[in-house]
Amino acid sequence: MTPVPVRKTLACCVLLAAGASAFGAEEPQQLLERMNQALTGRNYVGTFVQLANGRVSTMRILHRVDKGRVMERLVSLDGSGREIVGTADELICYLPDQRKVLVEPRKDQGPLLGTLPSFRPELVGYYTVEAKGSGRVLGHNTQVIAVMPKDDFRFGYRLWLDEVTAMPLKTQLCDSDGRVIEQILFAEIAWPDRIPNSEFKPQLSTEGFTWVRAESPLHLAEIGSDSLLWRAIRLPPGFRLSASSTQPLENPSRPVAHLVYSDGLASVSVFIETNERGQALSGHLSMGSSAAFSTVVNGHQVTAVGEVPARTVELIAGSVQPSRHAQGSSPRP
Amino acid sequence: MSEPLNAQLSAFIDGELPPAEGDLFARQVSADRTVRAAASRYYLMGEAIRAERSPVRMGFCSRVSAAIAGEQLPAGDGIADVKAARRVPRILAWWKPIAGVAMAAGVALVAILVVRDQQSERKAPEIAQAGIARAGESTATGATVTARPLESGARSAGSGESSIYVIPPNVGVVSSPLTRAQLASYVFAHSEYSSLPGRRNVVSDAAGQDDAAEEAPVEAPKP
Repeated sequence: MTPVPVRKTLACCVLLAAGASAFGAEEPQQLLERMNQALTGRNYVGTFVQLANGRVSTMRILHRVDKGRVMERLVSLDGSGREIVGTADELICYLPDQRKVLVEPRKDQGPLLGTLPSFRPELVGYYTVEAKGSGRVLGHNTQVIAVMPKDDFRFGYRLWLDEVTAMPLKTQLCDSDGRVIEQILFAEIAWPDRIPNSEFKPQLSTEGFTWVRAESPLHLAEIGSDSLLWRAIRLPPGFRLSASSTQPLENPSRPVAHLVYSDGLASVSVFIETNERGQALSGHLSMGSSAAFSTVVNGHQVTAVGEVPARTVELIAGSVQPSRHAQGSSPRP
Repeated sequence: MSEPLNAQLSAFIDGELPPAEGDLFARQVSADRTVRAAASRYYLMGEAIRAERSPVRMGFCSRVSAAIAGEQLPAGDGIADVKAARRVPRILAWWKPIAGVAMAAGVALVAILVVRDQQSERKAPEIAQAGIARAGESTATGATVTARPLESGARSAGSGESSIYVIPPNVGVVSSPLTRAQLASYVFAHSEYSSLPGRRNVVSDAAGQDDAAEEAPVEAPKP
């Protein structure tokens, strides 16, 4: 028998130990990056349960990446069985209860399940990212990562990430006190090497359905820069203007100015349109985990929407004003 | 349902099941429509109980319970039945029947239309004292606003899993500044910029809502 050189054995031990240590010591931010890569770059098929706002709903998700092309399908297991199929170019929504199929060009290429933005260093001022130990979900070992806000202008997340794939098997949206607002839990999940095309075909017959294709959106350059005439004067710490555009939402002849303020993780959209009701109504609204606050400024309905606490949307919407360029003119839209 | 199943369901909703049992029960919820419906009722009851400090909220939850039970909803407390807005096959407008119904009996159980009252007025000085950055500093220069520590609003990072759920504050139902279709359009347009859980919420709401839910009372009448 050839003796194994002691030096080589020791070197192997050191390498193995280093590898184990690196895995165990993976930084939370690295894990979040891996999660994003898993959500966008892997094949997965799963069923998840969503608990939010007095409702428990169940969805089946299929996500396939084949030679760089992404196909997705989200199926409601409740009600009439609505489905959304996402291709690289389009989102197709099947509404059996309405006997309609709705098609819209896909503007963003993110997965239907979404991802978290990259965790920029400046976010440290507003959030803490911490490893919260490990746990078991669906029989998988998970690392628990908490992204918690440092103030009550934004929400945080707790994520149970599969140690092997980094898929978020359980997700909680939390307020600044750590209380859960919404919870999403995978009931089953698999990572098949291939998912056949047949899996992305809707399981319902669309015979007799009306197909509705959305018109192409108008972009800023095509319709002017009305959104640039408005600004929020006061913002919570860390929020800044990250995007602005003008887009038709209901009436193509009356585009809506759309401003997006973000701290890099949370985001708030502000929509400004002519107040045709003629009433100066102001108030809070909510939809799912999104809070909204709407008010009237200079004859325009200003509405802020985002997955943030109510006080944040109220602060931002309440501070929106025409910019100096717009002063004295009749602000549009 | 049997009593053990009820107990298990209740524990699941409250996050009190051991992980292994929770996984198993989540599968059962996903596979069994009856269990799912019961889970929704439990969840709603939990919300109603947790909202007991808000009389308005309790009224709202009662109406929600009635909506789930398929009962005729009383028009009172400033709430009235409304039909879905006219659907226009234009950009994003087609999301109205999807996202719009999310304002109805399901997720939209909490589509609360309220007006500013003394409570929200009280918040203004609190916010002002909390070190709000001036937006001009960031938008004019393109630089990130420097954060200052928030004395009144600062919180330490949360730890561990919580089974406490939050009811958004509600301060009185008077009238709505928006139609629910408008709000749905806004929420969907915003979803492009929202992060993981929120995006899931919007997209899965879109997939999960049916017309049956569309008749629920979520919009206040004009004064």
